[in-house]
Amino acid sequence: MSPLLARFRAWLFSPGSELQLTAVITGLAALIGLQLAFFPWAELAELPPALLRPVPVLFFLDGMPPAAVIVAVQVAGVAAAALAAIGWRRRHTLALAWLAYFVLAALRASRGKIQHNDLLLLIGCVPFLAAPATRWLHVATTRRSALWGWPVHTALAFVAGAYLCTGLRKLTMSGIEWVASDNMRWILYAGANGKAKVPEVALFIADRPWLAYLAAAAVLGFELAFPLLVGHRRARPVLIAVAFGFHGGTWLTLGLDYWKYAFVVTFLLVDWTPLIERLRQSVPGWQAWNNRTPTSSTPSSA
Amino acid sequence: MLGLEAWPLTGWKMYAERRHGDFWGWQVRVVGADGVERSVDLRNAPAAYHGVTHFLSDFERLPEHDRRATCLALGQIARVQHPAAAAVAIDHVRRRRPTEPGRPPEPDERRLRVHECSVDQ
Repeated sequence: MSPLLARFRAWLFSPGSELQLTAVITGLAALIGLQLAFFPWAELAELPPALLRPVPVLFFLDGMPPAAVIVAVQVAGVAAAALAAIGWRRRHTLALAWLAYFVLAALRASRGKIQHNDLLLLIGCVPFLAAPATRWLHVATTRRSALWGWPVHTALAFVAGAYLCTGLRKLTMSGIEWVASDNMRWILYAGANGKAKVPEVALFIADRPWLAYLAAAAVLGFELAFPLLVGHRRARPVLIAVAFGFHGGTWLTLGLDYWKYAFVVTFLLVDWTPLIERLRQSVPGWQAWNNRTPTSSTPSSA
Repeated sequence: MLGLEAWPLTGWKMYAERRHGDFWGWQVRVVGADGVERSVDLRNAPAAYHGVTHFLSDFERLPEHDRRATCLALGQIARVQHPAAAAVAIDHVRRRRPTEPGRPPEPDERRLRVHECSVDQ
């Protein structure tokens, strides 16, 4: 095994705390629930059968399911996501929520355009479907084990791989011209004349070639550097900030909703253990109550 | 990376293709009984129709039967926006990207009518 592979393997199976795993799953489940609750999924039923291009996993569909079926999946998914977020039978409820989201996202991707908006959340959740059961957020311990570490690290590897592939694809399809040409200016002009939330921002950058080159270089740099920086704890706050800047900028200038990507990155990269521990300490009487709870153990430092 | 596009497996081709000032795009238009043509605004159509312009990039490869079915299906959304529509046309258009929002777009450089169907049935 090459040293690089050995280092990757060691990182992948390095210990993590039960509290971290629980917190990440709680966040991702909440994000699935919000996504399921606040998109007009039932409108997909309006698509005429002739315009349906089912994705491979829905090969058997001749037309969109009726709105009632879509709403039933949506409601079941929201309920399951809420239960997973609070920790009730998490392994089953998370799987149900993920499945509902997967089906609805697959329907959304069957409108003729490959849909990427949902993918990072969907693939980021996969390792947690096989993760060991954890206790509820308020009683999960800070003790560390490889058993609790691998799901978060595997999800991070998936997310880093997605960003890397996105960056490499730009290079393989367009070369360095993706940055060193008017490419970004035309992307932004299209956004300004299209769905941009704040067209003035898109125009401000597009009208200044040097700024457009800089923006293109920053986007490509972020995507390619993500896997290299993800293992460095001190780089993580920067990655989170840049993820919000990048995906927020995409929303402002192009009108494309990739906020979920920034939240997935945040849930996976933040070290929740000390934050939740501090929160617990600040709740009056929590320590005494926790010591009486048979399923918990005395928290140790992370 | 292998060019595979089989959702949820994807080649992550997000904005990977270099953009230029001139581009080929698709436009769906209605033809009124008076012969006047108007564009169908797919951008503000219901969520179900948000992939149509991407879908149309494969239109020319469809068999005639599927082209007609697609055109009639687009007639449904066309009729919502333009109730007097008598026909739907699918055009392949080459144009210059506008750089100043709000200004009238420059005339199309080329317009190829790929298909037209009557929805007045």
